[in-house]
Amino acid sequence: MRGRLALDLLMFGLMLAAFAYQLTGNRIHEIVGAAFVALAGSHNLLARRWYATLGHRRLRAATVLNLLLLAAALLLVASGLGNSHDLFPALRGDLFDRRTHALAAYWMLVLGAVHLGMHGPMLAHLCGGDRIAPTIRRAAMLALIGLGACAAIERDLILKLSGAYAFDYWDFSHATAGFFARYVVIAGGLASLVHLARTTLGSTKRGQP
Amino acid sequence: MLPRAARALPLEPGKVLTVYYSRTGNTRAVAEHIRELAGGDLAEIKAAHAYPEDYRATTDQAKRELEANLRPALASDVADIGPYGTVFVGFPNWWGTMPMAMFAFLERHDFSGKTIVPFCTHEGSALGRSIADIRALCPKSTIGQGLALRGGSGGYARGAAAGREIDAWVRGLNLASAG
Ligand SMILES: Cc1cc2nc3c(=O)[nH]c(=O)nc-3n(C[C@H](O)[C@H](O)[C@H](O)COP(=O)(O)O)c2cc1C
Repeated sequence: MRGRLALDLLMFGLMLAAFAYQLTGNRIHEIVGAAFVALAGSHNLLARRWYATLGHRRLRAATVLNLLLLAAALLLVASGLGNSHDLFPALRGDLFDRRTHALAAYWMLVLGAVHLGMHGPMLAHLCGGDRIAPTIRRAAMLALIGLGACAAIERDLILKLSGAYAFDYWDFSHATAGFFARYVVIAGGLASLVHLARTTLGSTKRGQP
Repeated sequence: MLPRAARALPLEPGKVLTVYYSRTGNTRAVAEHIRELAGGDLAEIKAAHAYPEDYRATTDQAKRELEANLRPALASDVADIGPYGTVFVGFPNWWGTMPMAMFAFLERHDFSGKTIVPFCTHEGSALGRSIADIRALCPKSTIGQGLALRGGSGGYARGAAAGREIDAWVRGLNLASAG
């Protein structure tokens, strides 16, 4: 279980690095992307039971969200290959432009965070977070949601999700950490929101935590 | 605020110039609109060398030019910047700043004591670090409040909403009282 958590953390780290295209330049971005695909492949292999039961499963919100995440991931990979200069120049084509790749990437961030939030209890258990008092945990999550909302506004996330953007910009002569911090709190805030919404709704509906 | 009639001109001291670089027309559309509002002259800057038709090949070439800090020869330039007091400088954001032809343009002329008002079209990076680059190229100029509009294919920059944004921005610059 801990190994899987480490894998997921590494995937998240690579995703953040990929967002910093402007900082890393193209070649490193493509290498980071390829490494992400390799890790995402293992992540899916480990989740093969989910695929096995997919056919005879009631279509719940969680399943739909996972399928959307999968779709975004496939679009991300396809458009990444289509825009490649350094690793796969032979696959470069005109089917997907830069904007499509950016669109898929921002949806990956959002759907990935929702996916994390769905596994909130498991994650909390793995990190020992369930030993923290519930009030403190809840306060921390609310703070993350607030910070995440501010960062999402500042980074123009809604426009990015609508496909208006093909480039991101950050003044890296100032604080590099600030760039990554914003994407971390966006993902963390969204995951917290999903987790809180599910536990609150779930406990009123079914009396479950 | 300004009486409405004061909006069109006269801009003291010196005339107004709107100068722009544009590969696919977004920045040109914005520049034409600014010229209508602020009056004065309109001029296009063009590099002497061509860029490929292909978008991605163009981005590759532009990246190399930026890394080499190239100053391309200009096929189209302003003959004499002397008579102008306020110069609107427009460009598409290329890799976080201006195309190198704009660097060449700003470097070739003496902008001391003049007011430079930057504007750009972009696909996410807004003005990027262009203001800092302009300030470094023209240390003795006043740099006005810049405007960034989303461009690209089917971009916002050519639409009516952008037009209203340009109106409000030009009005807010208070140019007529700049003397
Ligand atoms: C070589 C090149 C590099 C670009 N780099 C960026 C960039 O770093 N950030 C950005 O937001 N848009 C970038 N763009 C998109 C353009 O800024 C945008 O499409 C602009 O509206 C084009 O203006 P034009 O129609 O006047 O040429 C780039 C476009 C080209 C061709």
